[in-house]
Amino acid sequence: MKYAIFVDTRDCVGCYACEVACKQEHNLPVGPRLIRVGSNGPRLIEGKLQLRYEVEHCRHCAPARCVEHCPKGAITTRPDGITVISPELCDACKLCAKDCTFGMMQFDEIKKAAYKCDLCVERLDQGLKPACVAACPSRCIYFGDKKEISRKAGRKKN
Amino acid sequence: MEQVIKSNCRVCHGGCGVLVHVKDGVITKVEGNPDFPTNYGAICSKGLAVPQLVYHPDRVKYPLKRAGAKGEGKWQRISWDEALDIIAEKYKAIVKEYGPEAIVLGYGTGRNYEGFLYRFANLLGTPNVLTAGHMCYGPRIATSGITCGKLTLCDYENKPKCVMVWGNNVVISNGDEYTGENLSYVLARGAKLIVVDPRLTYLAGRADVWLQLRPGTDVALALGMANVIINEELYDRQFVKSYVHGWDDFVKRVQEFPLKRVEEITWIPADKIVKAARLYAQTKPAGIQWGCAIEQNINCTDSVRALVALMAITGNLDVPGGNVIPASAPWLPVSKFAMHRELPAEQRAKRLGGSTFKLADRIAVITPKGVWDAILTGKPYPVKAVQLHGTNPVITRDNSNEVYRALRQVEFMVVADFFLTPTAELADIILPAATFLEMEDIGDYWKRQNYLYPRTKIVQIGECRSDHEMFMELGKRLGQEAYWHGTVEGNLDFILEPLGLSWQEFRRLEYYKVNQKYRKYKTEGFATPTGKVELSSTMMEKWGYDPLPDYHETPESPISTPEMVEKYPYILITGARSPVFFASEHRMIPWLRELNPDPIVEIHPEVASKLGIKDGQWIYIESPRGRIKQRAKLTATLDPRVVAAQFGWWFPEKRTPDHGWNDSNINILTSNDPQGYDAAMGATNLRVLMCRIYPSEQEEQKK
Repeated sequence: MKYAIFVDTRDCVGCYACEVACKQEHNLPVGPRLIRVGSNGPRLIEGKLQLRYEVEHCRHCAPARCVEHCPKGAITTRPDGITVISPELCDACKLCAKDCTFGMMQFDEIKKAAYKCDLCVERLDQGLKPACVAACPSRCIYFGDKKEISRKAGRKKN
Repeated sequence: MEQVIKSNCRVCHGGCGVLVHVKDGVITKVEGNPDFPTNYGAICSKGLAVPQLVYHPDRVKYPLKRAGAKGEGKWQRISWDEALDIIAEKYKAIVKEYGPEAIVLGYGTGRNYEGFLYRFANLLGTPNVLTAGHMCYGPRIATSGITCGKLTLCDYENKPKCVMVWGNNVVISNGDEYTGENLSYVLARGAKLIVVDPRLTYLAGRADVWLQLRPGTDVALALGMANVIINEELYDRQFVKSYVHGWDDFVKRVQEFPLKRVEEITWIPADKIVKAARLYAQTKPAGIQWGCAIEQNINCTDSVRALVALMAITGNLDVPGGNVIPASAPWLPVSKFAMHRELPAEQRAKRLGGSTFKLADRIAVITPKGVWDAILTGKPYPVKAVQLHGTNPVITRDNSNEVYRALRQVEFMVVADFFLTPTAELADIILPAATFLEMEDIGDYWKRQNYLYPRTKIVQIGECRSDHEMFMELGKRLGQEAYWHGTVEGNLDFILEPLGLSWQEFRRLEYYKVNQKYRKYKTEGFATPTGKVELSSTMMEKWGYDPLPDYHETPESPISTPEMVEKYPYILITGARSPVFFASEHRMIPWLRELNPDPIVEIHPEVASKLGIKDGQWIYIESPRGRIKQRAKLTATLDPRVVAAQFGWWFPEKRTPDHGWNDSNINILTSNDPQGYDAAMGATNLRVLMCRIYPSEQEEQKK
């Protein structure tokens, strides 16, 4: 099975719980944000003025351009579809970020380190959901089998 | 060694079950407890950032004594015994010379030690407890009390089919009793949504009907909706006939609010009011989820009364999925633990503002100006000492300049807090307060009426102690020994005694839940003087107020003071919540501050373009009281006549003792002129101000 994650932004309330859950789970410093909430609107949706949020996050693309661009082979895609970074191989050259559509390769300029979403692989090994999914108060982040998640994402309009 | 310990978050009022991960005695992670019945694993940004709070390098870790001039920022570490002895000796001297009323106790949002604080105050003999209770939550408690017997809760457990969210943004901020998760859950299952808010929030955008009202006109809108419900005969005849007092008078008052008038007052088109009224009255069951926005203006009490009236006449009171009256708790209620009856009548009579604000007096809260006046003028009697726990009134109370002056001048001041806030910097003694992971405590011993849960001590930081322990230890030094059960645990045992549980037994439980009962009025009536829902209030009448809710125009508004419009053309609303801060807290927590680094003032793009204000620019906001700077956010979520500024701002990163308390603090602009108070509660007006806005000079120079 391959994993995937999808945010149904119709239900996102813009509370930032996912962002802080991610920071805590990965013990991230100020700066890198592996999931990012931003407001989108107000705009007219179905004739109604609405305030929605955009949530940017790594899509774990297949094939992934960050993997292709990394000269050190530090970014790899696991058999379960999760693209991960090996910090011991990475020298934060930022080539991986060049073609990322979502801007989700993140860097710490002081530590000279690169970060990306790993879908909380350590939690998955314990049978838990990724930290952002578990914390989300509006339950708008879906995680699981890629086929099922893709169907869910396909149904989303607006 | 790794452990996962169950606890219950208290970063706001509390209520969310959490799992605390501990490795070799250090907290490594806090996350939501998926099995906990109030939040089912959901948890907010503030709760998730708790490790950064507990281990913050700026925590006050030891008792401190002022070592320089007041406010100079020089401190000397002292022992707990020395700190408590100094305070106790000072209080003995003040009581002897001025009486106990010269000592004012205070807390902020309240974190489960309210009962301990009031117990100490009542046994000391002071009627003066300074809280936010005059304008936040207190009015809903007090007004619901006299109207239908008790504060009601929106009953998400039984899935309302329609929710009316009124002046509240519960999905991103604390909602007093419930978590946003509960509302999101019912909305995801198709509940209808009505939102009353001057700002387009996420909820307002999602609503079936969004009522974008003119700030401060809530009661007129509620009476307008009542007008529709009564004249279209959408009300519950049976309920009204059997369980309502003052129906005819109420109907008469409601007829004074025809939709044409309501539209004029509220700016809301009449057809929208009709649509909302029909949706609320005809979708059963329906619950009202209200927030403090309805309380922080001149119409505070009447807004609450009008909304309780809507719950009652539509038959949504105390029914499953409506607004329920919580069943009586089988443990010792906070009011009893607080020993209000031990406060002698002659001391109660001295409560500052008590004879003026009779509804506030009934729940033992005061309006803050009474304290500042007593400090600054000695009238009606001098206040010589102030002891504040977890509150930062320099930032959070109206007219900050006066608050600052008073707290600088007061003879003796004690502050218990996690950090050296701008308020704490004015103290003589600072007591290091424990977070909820550093104490044994009974969770939500007040607000979430149907649940009780244990919090156990996981770590010790410095010499921090629970506020509960501070009151107990001070009490023992002031002749209250017999009332404090020896230890904090002894007091917890005392609270739990009616349940037949000891603290040691209770601390092993995950939670205790009271079984909710519905339609209790059928056998018990309502706990009001008439036993009915008092749409016309006998208590208010007895106290000399209008027994019926009515609309009052704010003394400072484009209608009351049209001569101000030229200079101050915009209506300023304050207090819109940021999802990452609770009131004036959390500005020093890196994970949270990163997400809201600067104070934000929202302005409609049309207005901004007229004034030459760009998105992200620092601008001045000015009222007749003063001016502050915030960063402009251009957004068409507001009526162009309205400007919305964040509250609670100070800058812990500014290392001078003032911490930038008056740079961006919205309460520099608010007024505490009693003319703007609610007559019965003394609620202060934080929500309807007049202002002007302009680019800051700094920005001008950069151009």
